[in-house]
Amino acid sequence: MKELERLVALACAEGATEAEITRSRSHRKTVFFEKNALKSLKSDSGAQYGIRVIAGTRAGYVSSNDAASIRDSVKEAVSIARASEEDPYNGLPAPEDVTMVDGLSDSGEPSLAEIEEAARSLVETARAYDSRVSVDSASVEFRRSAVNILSSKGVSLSQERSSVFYFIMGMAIEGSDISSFDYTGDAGVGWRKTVGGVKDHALRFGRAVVESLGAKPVARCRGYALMSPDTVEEMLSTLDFLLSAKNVQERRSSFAGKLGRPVASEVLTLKDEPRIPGLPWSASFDGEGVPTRALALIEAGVLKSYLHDTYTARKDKVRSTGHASGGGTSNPSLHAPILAPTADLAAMQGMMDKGVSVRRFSGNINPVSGVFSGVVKGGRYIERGKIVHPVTGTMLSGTFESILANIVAVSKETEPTFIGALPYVLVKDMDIVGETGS
Amino acid sequence: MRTILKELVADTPGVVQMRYHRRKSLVIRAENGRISTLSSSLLSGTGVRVHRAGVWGFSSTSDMSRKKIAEALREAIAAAAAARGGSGADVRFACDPATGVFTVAAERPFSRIPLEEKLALVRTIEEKMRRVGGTIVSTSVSYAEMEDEKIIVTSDGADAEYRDAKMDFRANAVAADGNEMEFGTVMLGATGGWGDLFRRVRPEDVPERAVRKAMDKLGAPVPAGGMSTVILHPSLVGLLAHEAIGHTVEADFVLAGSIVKDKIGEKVAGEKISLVDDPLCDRDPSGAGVLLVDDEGTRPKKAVIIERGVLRGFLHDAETAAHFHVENTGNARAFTYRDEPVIRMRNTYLLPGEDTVEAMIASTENGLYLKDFGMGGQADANAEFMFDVGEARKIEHGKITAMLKGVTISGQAFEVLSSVDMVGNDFLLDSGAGYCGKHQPAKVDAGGPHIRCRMMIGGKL
Repeated sequence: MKELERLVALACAEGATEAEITRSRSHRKTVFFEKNALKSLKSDSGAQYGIRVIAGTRAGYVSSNDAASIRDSVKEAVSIARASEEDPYNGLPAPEDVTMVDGLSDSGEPSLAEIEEAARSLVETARAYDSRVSVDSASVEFRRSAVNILSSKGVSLSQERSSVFYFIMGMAIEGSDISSFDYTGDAGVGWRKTVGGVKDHALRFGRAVVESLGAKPVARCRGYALMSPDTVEEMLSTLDFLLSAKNVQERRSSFAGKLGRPVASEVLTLKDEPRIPGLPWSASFDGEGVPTRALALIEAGVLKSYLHDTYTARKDKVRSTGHASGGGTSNPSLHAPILAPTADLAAMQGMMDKGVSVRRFSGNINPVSGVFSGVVKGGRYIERGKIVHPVTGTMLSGTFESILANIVAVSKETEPTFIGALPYVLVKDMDIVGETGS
Repeated sequence: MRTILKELVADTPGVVQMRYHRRKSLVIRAENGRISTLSSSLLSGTGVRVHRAGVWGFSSTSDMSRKKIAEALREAIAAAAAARGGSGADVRFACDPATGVFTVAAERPFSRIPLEEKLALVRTIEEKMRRVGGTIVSTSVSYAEMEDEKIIVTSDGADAEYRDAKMDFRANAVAADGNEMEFGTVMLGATGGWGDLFRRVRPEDVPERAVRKAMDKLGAPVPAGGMSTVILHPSLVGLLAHEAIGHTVEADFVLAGSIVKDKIGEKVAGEKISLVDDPLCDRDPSGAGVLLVDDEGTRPKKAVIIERGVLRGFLHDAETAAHFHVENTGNARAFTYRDEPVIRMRNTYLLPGEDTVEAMIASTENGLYLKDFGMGGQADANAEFMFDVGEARKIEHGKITAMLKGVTISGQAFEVLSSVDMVGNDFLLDSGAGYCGKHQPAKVDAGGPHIRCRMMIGGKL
């Protein structure tokens, strides 16, 4: 921290009225498979500095990974701030007591050979599931990182983390029939616990791509859509946009002016839970050093809160919710979203008189207009609660507002995604457009 | 630095690639009357890759000293040696090594433009959009620049210095009327200098374009879904060329089993279709995908992908070119010094034909005129794609008429190209803003002429 103290002092000596330095250091080991074979092993380290300065009420930001010239970068940040504009809401947060979340760093560190073994298990298990499985790429990574934040206002925080991340992606091929591209993966804190799931994920991937062979389109209809956890992850990306206080204040979000009002079906309850011990998405503090906290966002369909950082909180005269993402173009963002369950997955499928399950959504949700349109990937046509066939050439369309309003169930079962364990969500009254009838 | 890299490569047996890369970036963003972002970044270091017994070992360092770079080299060698399951064989790579100094042409290099001038540009355009008022409720303008300096030295003989400069510009307007909100965007990307960014659109024309797109979509209907005749503007032709076709012909993807595997020499599109991936583009030398040296130190070449409907070739790096026994097209690219090179596109475009755009529209009884990429989209290994469209209008009895909104297009790209019955004699690269993603970002561009074809439109029942 001595280094950061010197840099903060330098910024103030150069004319900053407030200064914040963030230093991120990481060491990673990665094994990468491509084309069903071992491609590369990687081992390296790096450090990155983020320098945020306020000069009066003008803000500037510089990032650099060059420790040798970091003092020049500090001076540049002050110079940039002076060239910027006055804004009364610019400013760094005051320090608060931070209770550290437990279990974000595990002492075990695998060797490259152990990482290769895990990656090989991932690929070989998937390929052994069925000869039609073709792996495009797979990767296993271990990373150890440390973040330090120090500011002239008195924020002084450090967090060490370890993370394990793996994925596998590819398709199934049977003659001229190529299935939908699919992927699966997981992330965790501890090496042994996280890679313990590699074989299960490999089998899940193999099953998903093989069962997507022989896909047919469906007839146009209005019906149910059973969104997989990966599809729910995409929907949460849109909610992240709408819930951001910055987008509300910049008049880009349709959630503006709707605090305390219904924005979704009463089935939907969404919280941000960044303080669960032992999860890679958990965080003790945000990108500005403000402590994180559990936050109710939507309760029984009613909007309860926006996501704030220090800037947006000052503008709205509220307390920061601890969602600053940090960096030069900070936009408040979710940490670890959780949806409250309402039903068993089997019961949800049983509710579907006619519709599709959506394994992946290859499309687009326009967060401004709310228009939702995309192709169902790896999905199944379901009639009277039973799976009929895999689907291709089938699109869903509607508006995000109507999707939120038509949520009828959230599953108790969850599956890992890249932002946490997420459930299935069942939506009624979706427009399903197929190329031909079935 | 060049001397350090050359000495280390010379002292190391086997295949070695060393790449020093320094990137200086600037981002300016104005939103609703204020400069909300003014930030600069510096990212520099050396990436080292060695090939041993069928496996790559990689490491990197941000320390410029010979000691630390040598340490990174040892770490890369150790990483490769740690592999238990490589093929066991060394491979002779097909290389055309670049030697010398390579610098992108730049009219008024942006490094010499004062910060105040860049700020003034962003402020002026944002203010003009905001002053339209009426249904315009939110405006934002962003400018980003990226200046790269690379030194690439390899055991295959590459010894190159490469200076690149790329820019991005976006103007977004949101219009609202009651509960309805729509946005309009103008996006530009370029390689070169300050004068290249606005080579096709004058800065003073940007505000009107962005706000008009947003305002015209308010109240516009969503079309009925189903198959339709469409005329695609070059912006969407480029998207199709890059996303739906281009990724399937990247050789690493071909080896994993993409739909074009084993199809060289086969007819995959209509006879009017010819598609290339080009490190330069005579028709637009400022394309955002311009590449003078790839990140394995190879001199990149134009790759003919489809020629009059027949699949002719894939996109290669040194390793896949050797595997397929073909010339290396120089498509290996790494976004930063910490990334390993992977096969990426550059400027991907359809070649122009002979039809005029006017004749194309006049001869369309019923259909859609589609332009600009919207908010997202994806394509698959089997060339199935889906894209959101930024601007859509009906074509009725040979005339472009009403605006539509919420339009998406989908299909199987090769089937769509087989349905093309008219190819325009115009040309535009118009996909240079933003990044392509494939494990890591890359600046690319894409385009071509207008084309008329059939595809699936997503919409209402």
